Amino acid sequence: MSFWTDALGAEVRYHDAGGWRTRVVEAGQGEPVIMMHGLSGHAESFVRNVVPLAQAGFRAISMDAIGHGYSSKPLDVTYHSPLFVEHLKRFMDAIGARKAHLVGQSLGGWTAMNFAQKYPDRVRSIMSVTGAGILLEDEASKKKSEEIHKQVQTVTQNALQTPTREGVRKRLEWLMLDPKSVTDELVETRYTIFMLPDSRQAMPKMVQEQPGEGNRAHLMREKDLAALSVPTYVIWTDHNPTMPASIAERAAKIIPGAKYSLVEGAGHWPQFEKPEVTNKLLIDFLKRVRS
Amino acid sequence: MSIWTAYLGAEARFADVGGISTRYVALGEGPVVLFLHGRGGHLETFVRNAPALAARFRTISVDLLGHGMTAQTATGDYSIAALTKHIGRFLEVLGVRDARVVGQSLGGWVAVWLALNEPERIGRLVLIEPQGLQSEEERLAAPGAEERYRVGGEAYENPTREAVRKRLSGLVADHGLIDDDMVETRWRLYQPEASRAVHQHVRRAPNGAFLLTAERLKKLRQPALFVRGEHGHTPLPIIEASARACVEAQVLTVPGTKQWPQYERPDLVNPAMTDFFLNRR
Repeated sequence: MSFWTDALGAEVRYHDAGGWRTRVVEAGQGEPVIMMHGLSGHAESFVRNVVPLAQAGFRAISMDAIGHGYSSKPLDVTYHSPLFVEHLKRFMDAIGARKAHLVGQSLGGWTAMNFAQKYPDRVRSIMSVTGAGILLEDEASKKKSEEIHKQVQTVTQNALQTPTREGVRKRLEWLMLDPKSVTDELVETRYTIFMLPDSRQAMPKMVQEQPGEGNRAHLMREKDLAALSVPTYVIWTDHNPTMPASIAERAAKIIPGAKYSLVEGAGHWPQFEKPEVTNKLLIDFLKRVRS
Repeated sequence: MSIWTAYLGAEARFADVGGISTRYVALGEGPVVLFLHGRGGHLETFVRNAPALAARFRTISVDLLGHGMTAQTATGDYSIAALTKHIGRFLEVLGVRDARVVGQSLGGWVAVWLALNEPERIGRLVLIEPQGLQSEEERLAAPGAEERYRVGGEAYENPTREAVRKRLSGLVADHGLIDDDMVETRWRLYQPEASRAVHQHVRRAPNGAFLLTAERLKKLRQPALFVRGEHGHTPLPIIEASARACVEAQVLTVPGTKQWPQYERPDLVNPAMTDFFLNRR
């Protein structure tokens, strides 16, 4: 089991998303399923999911978000949610996808929901996997949300200041329930990406802006969740280091018709720590929406 | 270092080459260097080389017809002519007009045929333990050759991880050098029965007509660098005679290596290839 063998049969390629170079790991044919990673992540976050989803009859695409991985990292933009939404739109235009299923992990989940608000007719469904961007109104939830924002900022900045393999490993271990889930290959991949000259330039700006106050205007509040009009699936874990499952479950109840599932034995990355279970949940949901 | 991290930043694509889905990995900018693997091989053969050369060249590593994840041909023809034709068309599909070529074993044989067929498009050649310098009968008459053939063939008949590791280990002097990622990759690629059948076809292909005789090598206009493992299978006198037949050729012997010197001693082979392609050696 390695990234290379997980991805055998998939393509790694670059698309021009309206001027923004966008790297993807892609396989299969059928309705597009676009997978979006979290803050400071990269397409490899879904390396254990692309081929299984392709084998289930979908065009499975894991993309590097703008500012991330091997995609463009412009400095003349603000790394708030609307930028990631715009990147996704340009990307879908570039690959000729009128509509797509959106799988978003952490920051990617926030992007998916904001995208569905703005372009509902271009979304087949949303799957939020420990997705960020949800803000419930009660005091406890609000307090938790504030805490998470600060926590994400701290752990991410620590990993970025002068990237070291050890620092990158610590940040990744924070994502997982089992620290052994952090393979040397994952550390090396992320470290290599963090050391790219354009990453060194863009990432401090991004991790400062992304959890910033201005971006909070784009959080999904209860009324926003209640107004979502596409099939939605909230997938959580029993050991998520950010938002607890209880809040996610409540959020799922607010979204009309949303489905909720809990993956046991995983932290922030169920798609990586528990790929078989998570792939089955995703595929069952996708097939139901498709039929 | 894993195969994935070695190729970070690369494209891994499938090209439609006259109906044959053809897998390749491209990395780097500059003049093109094409990498052709051996029989039973796949493009990962050059995982320790193509990324290093990508600092100066556009490296393109490709799975030969029926090999790795490139599709099989319905004709069942895996002769040198068929393999060469496929690669020629592949270069056309990619719009490559000028390529230097690195070929190992069977890939070296194909590289020479490509160069003979298309002298205006193919430049300098690095031939690593190339096949085709001897007839099959001559090759199999060498001590130990039959046994090597048999052990190597086990990985096709019953492709367990162990058999695959054994076959790969036969390519290097230091068996511990073959890493798990390479074993796992080849093991996956060997699982489909159709892909294993190709190797039998390639073995049995009537390639006597395509041998790289002295007369043929005399016609080779491109300079060639023969890279041989100190303990490689092709006898030194054969390689030296072939090099002498070429208009311009040199021989590099890589100490402590066998059939895969490029994998075992990339620290020696990569700089030698780079210097040769830049006309500095």
